[in-house]
Amino acid sequence: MKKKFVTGKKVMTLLLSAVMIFSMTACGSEAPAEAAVDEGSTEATKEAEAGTENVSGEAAAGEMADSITIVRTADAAYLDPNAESIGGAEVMVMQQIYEGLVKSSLDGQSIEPCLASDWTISEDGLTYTFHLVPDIKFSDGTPVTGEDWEWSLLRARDTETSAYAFIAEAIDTVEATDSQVVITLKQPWAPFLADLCNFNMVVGCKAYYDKVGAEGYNKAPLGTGPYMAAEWVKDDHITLEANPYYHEAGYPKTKQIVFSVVTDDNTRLMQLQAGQADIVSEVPLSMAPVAEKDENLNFQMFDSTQQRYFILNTTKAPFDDIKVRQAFEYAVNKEELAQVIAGEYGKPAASIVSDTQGKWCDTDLQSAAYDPEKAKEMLADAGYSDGIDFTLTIRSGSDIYEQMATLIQSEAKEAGFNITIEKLESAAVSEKYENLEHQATILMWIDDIVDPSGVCGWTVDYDQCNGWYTGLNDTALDDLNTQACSELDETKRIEMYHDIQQKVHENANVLPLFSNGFAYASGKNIEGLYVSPFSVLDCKELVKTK
Amino acid sequence: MRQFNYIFKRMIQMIPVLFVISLIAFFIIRLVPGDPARLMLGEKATNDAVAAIRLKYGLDRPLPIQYLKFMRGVLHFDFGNSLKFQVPVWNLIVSRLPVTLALTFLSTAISLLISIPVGYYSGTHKGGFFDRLSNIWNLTAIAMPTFWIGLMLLIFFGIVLKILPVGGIGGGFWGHLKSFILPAFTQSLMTSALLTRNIRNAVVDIISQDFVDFARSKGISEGEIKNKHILKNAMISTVTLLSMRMAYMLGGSIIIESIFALPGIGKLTIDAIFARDYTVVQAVVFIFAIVVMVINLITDVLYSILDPRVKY
Repeated sequence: MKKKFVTGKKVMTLLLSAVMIFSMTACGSEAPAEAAVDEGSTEATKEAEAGTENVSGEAAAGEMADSITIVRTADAAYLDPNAESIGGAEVMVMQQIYEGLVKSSLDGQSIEPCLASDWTISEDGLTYTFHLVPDIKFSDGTPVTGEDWEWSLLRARDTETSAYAFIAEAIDTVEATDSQVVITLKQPWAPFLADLCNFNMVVGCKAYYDKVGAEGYNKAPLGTGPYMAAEWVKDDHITLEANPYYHEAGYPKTKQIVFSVVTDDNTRLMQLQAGQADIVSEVPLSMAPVAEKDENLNFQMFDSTQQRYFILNTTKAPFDDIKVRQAFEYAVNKEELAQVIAGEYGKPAASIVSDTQGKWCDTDLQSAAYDPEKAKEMLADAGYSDGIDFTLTIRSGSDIYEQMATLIQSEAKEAGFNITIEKLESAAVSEKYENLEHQATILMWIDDIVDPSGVCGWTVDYDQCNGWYTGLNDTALDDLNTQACSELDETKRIEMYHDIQQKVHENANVLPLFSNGFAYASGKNIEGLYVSPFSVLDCKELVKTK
Repeated sequence: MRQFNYIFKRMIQMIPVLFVISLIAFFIIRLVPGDPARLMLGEKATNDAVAAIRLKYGLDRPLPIQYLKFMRGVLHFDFGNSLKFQVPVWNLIVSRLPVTLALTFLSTAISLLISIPVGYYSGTHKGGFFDRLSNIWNLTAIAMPTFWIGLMLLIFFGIVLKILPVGGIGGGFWGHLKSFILPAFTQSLMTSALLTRNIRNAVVDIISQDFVDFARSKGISEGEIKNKHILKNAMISTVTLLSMRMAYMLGGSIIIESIFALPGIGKLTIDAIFARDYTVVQAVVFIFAIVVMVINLITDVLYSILDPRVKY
């Protein structure tokens, strides 16, 4: 009998320990130290919870759900647009919190008014005058002032540790009142209006920043966008609440948006199938057919500016020889690559500029068709009749890169290129190509703005990144790119950029491979989901019917 | 008293070990290629921005100076700020460690609940139907990949039956408990199989020994022979195995945390390694080393309780 009692006591101890650990877990997840939200925001959250005129009346009527959960692969690290580490995870949330003077249209073809109702540009292209929409307020009710605009735009330019300070580099002065913002540039800069659509060219509240400091601003920023940060449990979820002072009547349509982090691709899709999540961003291309076939889900593939490129290091043999580089284009079967990796959503790419950029893409440029015999002949002409061995360095752990490398390896073998695939962890790969220690690698690009200056500058402006890590310093092409950035006549600019695309093709140091869309899956009851070619997801239109 | 002296002596011995671990934790991540400043800023960063970041976080200073700063912080229980998240490392660890501990603890509990009765019964009925069934199950559980079992369980209980959540941590006590059932069970499978096999083999070995026959001949009840003589002796090697498995589960929880979307320490560590978040990596390695040493100490103390012949 005594024995049984002792065993019972052990079981009780075990159970009590379990309860204690669970209590710890509860504390850890519900009130972590880093999830602090500013008092001001909390006040505003309460107002939003109480229901405001701004939030759609239909939602209040009970036909629509109050909250939509979007699951994605990674959490944001910062919510300050000028913070050091900004990637897709940060931008997706910040786009809901902040707004700028102008924005790119959802189809990615034009620039639309946002907090500026209209604007004028001086003939010399140096002075931009924006007339502001009246009575704009931050999400805590504080009116936006001219001082906020001056502070925000100059901060975007002057924050040394910001990776995107270059976007605001053209700005010389900013003079703003409560009704207009006048920006003077250092020199004519044709992409400036497009630059103003970037996520860091937005208005923030100076007084609030002065009050909470850089750390507080990062956690709970204050913007004029449709939503505001309400709760942030790092690496788990960010909850946004409707901004009760939002300037567009009837928006946002849903009171609450939750960005939840689920790293596993399968689990993300399963959460959607189980109704635990409403939208899955970044559905892996390999899983797109599964999502598409599921009758209980909506699968959408949005046009994107996302392209993948084969990068050839021109400072090392064998790709220091232009003939070898040009031969290599015939050794890659882009059609097959696009088909295998992205299925019906993949398109072979001929130009460094995505065709989603419309007029900026030189559609006359033709991609070389896979022709291993021709590649062999060209190699023989270049003095490599026995073929060429080289190493392709890619990052490990990515299905797409590994698949692409394997396919290219087998295709190029037919043409006399013997490729050894070197898989390294992503940080090691980037260090290698930044120091031009690689022979070849595969990289990806998504445009941020409605303009080709981003990808063209990245490819030909040697100072930015050694000619996109190819080591090619073509000064004539670099000069052409500089001229294209300051040319105000759009027709001439288009010609210049087409010329740049043509010349990059001839140089054959950056080989565009294929493009694919942004894959999203959502529940059947979700409406208003749209993603721009620059990966802008505008949550204010989202609606979930009950 | 002798046991307290032993524990005290072991704790003193931990100090030089911790010093060596601090050196390894600090330098090994810095030996791997990859610049945290470049990784923070992303590919579109200019060289000036990278230099500004290196200066801001003291990454440009000589390594011995950075190490001394790290050690000074450790002695004050201050592991610095995460380079990636910009919050104190301690806060990050404190918010995630309970998730991993709960997962490990529950997995261990489930493993013991399965392995002790199954292992004992198999051992005492060696070669029988149940023993053979248990052997097949053990081999299957060891052979099946964890991520596959996890996904199958999620599909069955989360999507088909809809009785358990598909990942996530849930809210409130019951929410947490429901969220932990599948990951804990998945993680316990291999441990329970290994423990079952170990207990079964130990029981087979012990029941044929003379002291068991002697106990029976003295008229001691079967229950007492089972608890005091067979099971207790079988647990000696099991405790060693369990302590190793617990250390493994603590460190190797990343797959489970990833599949079941649990914000635990494994995910934090792997993200920190990829981002070269030096401060987080060195702190996690250091704290894990302490946890593993404590588990080992508890194991050694348990030996003396299970086997009075073991003296310290």
